[in-house]
Amino acid sequence: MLRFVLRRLIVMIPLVLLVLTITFFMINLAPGSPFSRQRRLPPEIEANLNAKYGFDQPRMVQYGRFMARIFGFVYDPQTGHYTWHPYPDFGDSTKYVDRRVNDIIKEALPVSTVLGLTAYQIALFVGLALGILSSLRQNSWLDYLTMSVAVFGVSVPNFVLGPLLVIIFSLTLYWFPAARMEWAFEWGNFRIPTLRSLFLPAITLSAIYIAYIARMTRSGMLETLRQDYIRTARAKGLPEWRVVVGHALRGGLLPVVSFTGPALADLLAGTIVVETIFSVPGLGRYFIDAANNRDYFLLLGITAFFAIALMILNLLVDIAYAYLDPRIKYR
Amino acid sequence: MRVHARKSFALALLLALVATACNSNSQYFGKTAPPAAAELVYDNNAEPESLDPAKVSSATSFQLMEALFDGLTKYHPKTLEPMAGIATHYETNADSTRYTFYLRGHPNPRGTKLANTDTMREDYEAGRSAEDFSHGHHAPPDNTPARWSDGTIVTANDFVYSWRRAVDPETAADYANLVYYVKNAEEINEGKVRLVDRASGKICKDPSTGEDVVTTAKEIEADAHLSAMTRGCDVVKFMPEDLGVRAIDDFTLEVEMRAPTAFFLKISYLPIYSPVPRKAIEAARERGLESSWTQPENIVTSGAFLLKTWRPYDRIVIVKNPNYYEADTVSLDKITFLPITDPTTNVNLYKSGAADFMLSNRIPQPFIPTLREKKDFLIAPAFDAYLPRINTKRPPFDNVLVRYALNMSIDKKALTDFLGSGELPGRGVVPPLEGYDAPQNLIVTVAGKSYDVLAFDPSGARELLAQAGFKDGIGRDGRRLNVELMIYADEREKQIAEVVQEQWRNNLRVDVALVSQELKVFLKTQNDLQYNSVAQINWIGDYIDPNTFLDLFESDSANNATGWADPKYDALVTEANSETDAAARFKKLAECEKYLLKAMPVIPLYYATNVYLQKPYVRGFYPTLNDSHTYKYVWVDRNWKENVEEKQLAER
Amino acid sequence: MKAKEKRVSTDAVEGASLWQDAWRRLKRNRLAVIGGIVVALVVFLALFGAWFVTKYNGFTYETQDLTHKLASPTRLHPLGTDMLGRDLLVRLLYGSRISLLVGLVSTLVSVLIGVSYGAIAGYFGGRIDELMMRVVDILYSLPYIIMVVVLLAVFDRSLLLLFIALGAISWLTLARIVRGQVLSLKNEQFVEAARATGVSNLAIIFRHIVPNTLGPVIVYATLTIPTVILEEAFLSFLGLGVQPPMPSWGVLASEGAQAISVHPLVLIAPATLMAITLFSLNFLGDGLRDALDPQTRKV
Repeated sequence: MLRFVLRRLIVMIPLVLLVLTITFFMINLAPGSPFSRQRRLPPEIEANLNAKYGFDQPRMVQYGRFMARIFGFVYDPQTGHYTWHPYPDFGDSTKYVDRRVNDIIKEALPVSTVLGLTAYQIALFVGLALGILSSLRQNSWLDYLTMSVAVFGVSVPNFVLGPLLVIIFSLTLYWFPAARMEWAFEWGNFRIPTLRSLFLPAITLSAIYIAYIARMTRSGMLETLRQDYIRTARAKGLPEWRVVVGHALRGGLLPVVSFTGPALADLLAGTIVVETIFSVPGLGRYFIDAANNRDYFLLLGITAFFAIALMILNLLVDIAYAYLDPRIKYR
Repeated sequence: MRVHARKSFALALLLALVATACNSNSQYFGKTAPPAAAELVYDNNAEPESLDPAKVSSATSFQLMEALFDGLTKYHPKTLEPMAGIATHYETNADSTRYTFYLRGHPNPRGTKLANTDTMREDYEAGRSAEDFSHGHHAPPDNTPARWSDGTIVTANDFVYSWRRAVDPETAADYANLVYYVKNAEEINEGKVRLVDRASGKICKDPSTGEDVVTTAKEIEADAHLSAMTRGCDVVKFMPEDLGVRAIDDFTLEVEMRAPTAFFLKISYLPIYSPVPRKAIEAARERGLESSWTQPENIVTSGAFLLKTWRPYDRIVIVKNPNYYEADTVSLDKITFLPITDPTTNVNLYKSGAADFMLSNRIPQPFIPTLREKKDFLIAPAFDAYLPRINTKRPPFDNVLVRYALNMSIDKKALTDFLGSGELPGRGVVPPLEGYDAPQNLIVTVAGKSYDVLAFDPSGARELLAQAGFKDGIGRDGRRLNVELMIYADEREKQIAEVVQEQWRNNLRVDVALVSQELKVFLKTQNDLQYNSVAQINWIGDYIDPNTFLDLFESDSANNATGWADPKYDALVTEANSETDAAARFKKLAECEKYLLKAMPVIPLYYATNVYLQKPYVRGFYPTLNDSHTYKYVWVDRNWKENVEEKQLAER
Repeated sequence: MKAKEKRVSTDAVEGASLWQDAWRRLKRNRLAVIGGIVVALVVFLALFGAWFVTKYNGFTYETQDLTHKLASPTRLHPLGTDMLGRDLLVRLLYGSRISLLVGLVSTLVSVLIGVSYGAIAGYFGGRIDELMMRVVDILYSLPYIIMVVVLLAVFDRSLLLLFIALGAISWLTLARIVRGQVLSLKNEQFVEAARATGVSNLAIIFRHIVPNTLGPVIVYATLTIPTVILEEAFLSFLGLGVQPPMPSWGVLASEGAQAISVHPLVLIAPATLMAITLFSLNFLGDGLRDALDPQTRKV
C-alpha cells in the first residue's frame, strides 16, 4: 500500500506539469490578450505591458520561463539571470497588478476551503442520513420526501436557490446577512468566518451534493441490503444499526466515495456562482476573473492547485476503496 | 411526491410575495436608519485592479484614488469644475504651452487662484449653491504645506518623480497616454530615440524633410539614410528625465506641454498626475517587490484618507488622514469600500442596510419599476452612449442606405422606456452636453424623396432598404437579408439586443440573428472587423468634451471598429479642435458630428445614465456625468428626516 | 465477508429474453409507468405545445409586447409574460425541445462513454487502470471556460459542438464511479466463474459486470440531466447553444432568477416543469433499475 501511495504521489508531479502545459497552450489559443480592453490601448502602451510580463517573447521562451518558475527559477528581464527560491512562483497577476499569483492563492484558498468543507459536511450528513433512511423504508413517505429534496436540489440551480434563501432569511426574517463573510477571526491569511455568515452560502452550495449523495446512498444501500451476507448478519442476531452501519453502508458507500473525489476538489478550489452571489473572497472569483481577463499566470496557478487537490483526493478515494472493500488490492 | 415540490414552490412564492409587499409601501428602499458614527459603506461594484495611481485604469480604482491621493488639482463634487488640490494657484502662457503651478506651502503664490473650500462656503452663503460642502470650515492658508501621511512635506520634486515614473516604459502604465500632452512624454513612453549633433548638442534635422529626427532605434538600423547620419550625430534615447516637467523650487512646478493644451486643468486631476510617495516605493523595491508599496502596511498617501485595510474581494477600509491639509473639513472618519460584483447582491446589501451608497448601473431590469418610485434611487445623465458599430466593409452594409434603414427602423423611445432608468433615445453620437448643439435631424434626399435619417420612420426605412435592393427585406437574389447582431455575454446587453432584433424584424422584414460572445472574443472580432453586420457596444467618454466621441471615428482611431475611414472627416475634426474660441469650437464639432452621421458607420441607439442608490442620510455626494466624486465632502446627516421635511416646507 | 452468489446466469440463451423480461417487469411498476407517461407527455408538449399556443393567442416565442412586461396570468397569457412582454407559456414549451434534447442526448452519450471507459479501466486494473484514470484526472483539471472558448474559436457553432462541450465533463465523474464499482465486482465469484469458462474479457465486462453497476449509473444519470440542461444556458451565454431570443429551460431559469423577488412566476414556471419532468424521470429510472437488476430478476 505504501509503495502504491508513494508511486501515485511521484506520478503526480509530471501529471500536474502536463496539465499546466496543456492549459498554457490552450489559453494561448483563446482569442484576446490580457490587455485587450473595451477601451483599446494604444499599441505602444500594449507593447510596454507585453514587455513587462514577457509576452513579447516567442511562445516557447515564455513556456520555458514559466516552467522554470514552477521549479522556483525566476527570470529577471533586467539582469537576464535566474534567481532561485524553494517554492513554485507563478509570477504576477496581469489583472490585479499590485499582487502576485502566489499571494492571491494563499489568501483566497483558505476561504474557499472553509466554505467548501462546511458545505460538503452538511451534504454528507444530510445526504447520508436521507439516503440510509429512505433505503430502509423503501417507497414510504420518507423515501419520497428524500426524492423530493433531491429533485429540488438538482433542478433548482444555485443561482436561484441562493437569492431565494436570501429573500427569505435575510431580507424578510433578518436572520442571516444577505451576503459577505463576517470574520470571527482574522490573522494574516488565516481567517475564520462566523457560522452566521457561512450558513446561507454553505446551504446553497450543499443542495446539489445532498441530492447526489442521498440518491446514490439509497441505491447503493438497496443493493447491499439484499446481499446474503446482510441476511447472515441479521440472522446472527446483530443489532439492526450495526448491520446497517457496519455492513450495508460499507458496501453501499462506494459510489458516494467515488463521487467525493472530484466533487470535493471542485468545492475546495472555490465555486464561482455561490462565491459571487454571497460575495465570498474565495478562489472561485479569481478563477472566473482570470479566465475572463486572460490573466494567464493566475489561471495557471489556480489550475495547478486544482489539479493537485483533485489528484490527492482521488488518491484518498482509492485508498478508501481498499478500506471499504478488502478484496480491492493495489500493487 | 410532486405535491412536496409544489409545496416548497408555493412556500417560496408566498415568501417572495411577502417580501415584495414589504418593499412597496416605503418612500425609500430598505433601511433608512443612519449609522451611529461618521462611517459609511460604499459599494464599489468590483475589486480595484490596483491602488497605484500610475497603474489604475478602472472607475472602481478611481473612486479610491480620489480619497487616498490628492492630485495637482481636484474638482467640484457637483459641477466637476477644477479646484485646488496640492496646487493652489497656476499661471499659463498665452498659447497654453507652459503651466506654472504654485503648491501649498509656497510663500507667495502668483497667478490664478483655484477654487477651494472657502469658495464653496461663499457659494452657499451667496445662495449659488444649495449645499454647504465646507460645513462652515475654512480652507487652510495657502502657505501651509501639504503633507504625506507620514508627516513629510509634499514638494514639487514629488510631482517630477511621479510623472517621470508614470511615463517610464518600465512602469507600463495603462493610462500613460493621458500624460502625452506633456512634452516628450510620448517619446519616453514609446522608447523612442533622437539624433543629437555631437558638435552643437542640438537635435539633428533630417535634410530631406527639415524636421527633427525622433524615431526608434530599429528604424535607424533599417534606414540607410538615417544610419548614415549617426556618423555626425549620437543616438540618444528619450529617458524619463527628459519629461517636460521641473521643480523650480520646492513649491513651484513648471510643466511644458508638447502643444497648446488649453484644457489641461480638466485632466490634471486624473490619478496618473497624482504624486506618489518615492520613499515608500523605493523601500518596497529594496525589499524585492515594488508593487507591494500599495499594501496597507507600506502605503503613504497624500489625500483626505489613509488606507487601513485591504482585503481583496472582501473590503477596503480607509480612515481619515490626520495629516491632511484640511483634515478638519473631512467629515467621515471611515469609509468601507465593498467589491460586490453581482447586481442582485448589490441591491440586497443596500436594502438590508449593509451598504449606504453605490453606483448601480447594472441593476437587474425587473427591479427598475419598483425602484423608480423610491426617493433614494437617483438618476443622472452619464457621458455614455450606446453606439452599435456597423461593419461598413461587408456588403450590403457598405451601402449607406442600408445603414440608414437600420437606424430609422428602431423605435428607440420604446427601448429607452423599456430600460426605464432615464435613458434617452439616441440622435447622434455625442451625449447631451451643456453648450453643445448636437444635430437633431439630418435630411437626406434619395430618389427625389426626403428622409430624416435620425428619426424613427419604419416606412421610410423600408423605402430606403428597397432602394438598396431589398424590397420587403428580400434581395435581388430572392433571399431575405440576414442581419447578424453581435453582443457580448451579458444579461442586459442581451435584453437590449432582443428588443432591437424584434424591431428590425417587424419594421424591415429582415432576418436578424443574435450572436453572443465572450467579451474578449467579442472585442477581437469587433476590432478585426470580423463581424458580419452589427456589433453592439457602448462608449464612455474619457473626458467631458464632444471630441472624446468624435475622434473615435477618425481613420487612425484604435476604437473605430467600423471600417469607415474618411480623410475629410479627420481634417474637419482637427480643424475644429484647433479653434480657440470654445463656442465656435463646439459649433464646428457639431458640424463634424453631422458629417459623421451622414455616413452613419454607427447606430446612435441611446444615451445611458448613471444610476445611484443612496441612503437619504448620505449627504454631499452627487451623481456626476463621469461618476467622479469627492469623498472628503461626504457626510452623514443624522437628522435627515427633519431636514427633508424642512426642505419640503420651504419648497411649499 | 462471505462469498456472494453469482448474480448473472452465464447462459447465453437467456440473453435474448433479458430485455423482454425487464420490459415486463417495468410494466408492473406503477410509479414507473406513471413517470413514463408524464415524460411522454412532456415530450409531446415540447414537440407540439408551442404550435397550439401560437394558434391560440398568436404569440410565438419571439413576439414581444413591451407594454405588458412581467404581466400576471390572463386568459391570453396563461402563464403571464416575461421581461420583454413575451408569452411565457409558448417560450416554456418551445424551450423544452432543446432542453430535453440536450439533457437526454448529452446524458446518454456521457453514460455510454463513462460506463465503458470506467468498466474497462476497473476490470483490467493495474497499469491500464492507472493510465486511464490519470487521463480522466487531467481532463477534469483543465479550465472548462477556456476550453469552451477555444472550442468556439476553432470550430463553428453547432449542435454537435454543444453536445461535445456538455458531454466533455459529465462522463468523467461517471467513469470514476463505474470504475470503483467494477474494482469491487470483479472479485466476485460469478466473474471468476465466467473467466474460468473462457468467456472473453469484453463479454465479461459488458454482459456480466456492467449490468451490476447500473444502479448508481442510473441514479447519477437522472441527476445529471438537469445539470446539463442548466449548463446549456451558461454555454449559450458564451455563444454556444441556443442564441436569443430562442428559449431553453436553462435560459428561462437564468432570466427568471433576475426577477425572483419581483415576479417569481417567470422563475417558478420553468423550474416546476423541470422538476416534474425530473420526478418522472427519477421514477422511470428507479423502475428501469429494478427491472434490469439481476438480483431481483432471480427472485
